[in-house]
Amino acid sequence: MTTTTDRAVLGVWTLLITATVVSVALSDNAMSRTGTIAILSIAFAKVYLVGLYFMELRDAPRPLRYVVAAWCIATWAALTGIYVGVC
Amino acid sequence: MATAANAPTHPRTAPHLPGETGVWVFIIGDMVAFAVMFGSYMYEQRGAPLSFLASQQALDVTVGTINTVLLLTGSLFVAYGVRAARAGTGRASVLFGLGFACGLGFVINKAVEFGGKFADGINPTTDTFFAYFFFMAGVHLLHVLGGMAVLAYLGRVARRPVLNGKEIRVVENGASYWHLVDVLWIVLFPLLYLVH
Amino acid sequence: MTSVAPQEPEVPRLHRNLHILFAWSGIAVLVLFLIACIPLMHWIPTPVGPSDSGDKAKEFFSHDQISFRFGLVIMMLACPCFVTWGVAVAAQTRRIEHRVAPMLTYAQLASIPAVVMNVVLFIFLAGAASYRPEALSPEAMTWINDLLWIIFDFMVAPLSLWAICMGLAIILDQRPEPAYPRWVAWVNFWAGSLMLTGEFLLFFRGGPMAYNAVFGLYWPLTVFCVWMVVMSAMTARAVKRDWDGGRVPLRDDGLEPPLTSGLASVGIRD
Repeated sequence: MTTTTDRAVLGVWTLLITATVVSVALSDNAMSRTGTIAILSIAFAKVYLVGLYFMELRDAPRPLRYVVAAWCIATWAALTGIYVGVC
Repeated sequence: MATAANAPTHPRTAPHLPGETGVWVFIIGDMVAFAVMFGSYMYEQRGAPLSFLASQQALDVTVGTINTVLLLTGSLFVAYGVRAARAGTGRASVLFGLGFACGLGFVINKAVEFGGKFADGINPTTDTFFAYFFFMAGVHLLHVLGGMAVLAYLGRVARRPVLNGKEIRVVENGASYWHLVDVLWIVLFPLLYLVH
Repeated sequence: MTSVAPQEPEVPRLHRNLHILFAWSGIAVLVLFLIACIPLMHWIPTPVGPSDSGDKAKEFFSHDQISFRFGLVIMMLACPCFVTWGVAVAAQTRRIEHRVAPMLTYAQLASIPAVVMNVVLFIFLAGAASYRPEALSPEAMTWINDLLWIIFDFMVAPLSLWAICMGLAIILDQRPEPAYPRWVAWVNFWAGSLMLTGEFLLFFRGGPMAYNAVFGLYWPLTVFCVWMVVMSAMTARAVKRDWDGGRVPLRDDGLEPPLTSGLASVGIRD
């Protein structure tokens, strides 16, 4: 009993699989800065999608959604920042 | 109550917390723990990028990708299982069983991967990369095993097609934990296998 | 306080206040512990790690000895506070288990001396190390330093057991007014499982899992602090709610019907 349809859930799964394949394609055995930032960004976007559609955060109380979003943003920022050399 | 694939079963007006508050305390707490691990790993990698890159050559990206697909598919089944449990279609148990099977596939795949590393003489004390690799993947593996136990339990709870409110909450608790296991791997896989 | 017998009004109130004080003594444990370890003993952050030389170890124990030993005295004072906190929490578990065999209570009580003994052992050895460091070689100092850190970091399993038992007790609390809200059980499960990251420190002399690194020391310490703060506050709250609602019987026995197996309907008598 959510506002998400069964078909939307399947659609999100397809998107997640595609994003996984794209990430693998983006990586190669070199140290590419833009590639890595893209891979990390895709990863956290995937996390948020799983949160919204699989963990049903779309219908959950807003504060919980914000906490998960905050974790995604903060962890992404920390990892990207450390990788790039900011922190 | 059967649902057409395209229609929402009941549009909600009030927000609904899946499961109970406490399980989300646990989930967010676990996510924070792993974020600390991720940050620590990235910090170490930045300090020794060539050494990490060399060690990462020993990993098989295909194995990691298969594991990611297994967990994502498991999450799909579990998400459907929760919806089936609420709708009372009677299919929830089977769906949780399919999720369990995906978890089992992950565990077997992981066991083979770890076994291969040990056979090659690689273990957690080999170098810093592999210390992190075995530690983070190992702790995650324990979570997957826990998740499988949870799904087995949910399969039992959802055997009856129509569940009462308390049982639905148990199902939502367990499903949320499973999705946590998936979420953690979604970040762990690129960190260990793809990011150099 | 309507359930208090009129001829003894003061004793229960004093006991209540003492129970609350005991609950808050968990904060005292943390404060004393951190004051001892950080500014006094300079023990945290780790001064001498697994890859440091014996000379560094010897130098550490030979300097600032007054401050170091004073820190050990403060740590010794934290030990009885740990006992008071432990029994305050265990007493609530006992109330939760008042109709059944109180094994979760016993598990918690049995964990207290394990933890206290560990701290006391650390204090003895650290005290001896700083008592006469000039008599020891750098190699011996390295060994003592390693030993002290292993004692300091390695024994978290009893704390995990404690936390898991507490979480179970809270989940199993069937009373109409449970002592703790359910989310506290989940904090206990979280703490109990995530304090164990340091259990692999014996395998590493460097990296993130060694006794001076994030998973050997800092993360379990953080989890421990969060857990103690939450349990101190929520136990004090549980005591207050029970007492102020007048729901506390002066004795537990004789107030509830005896527990039966429920099989009387099929002819099996208890």
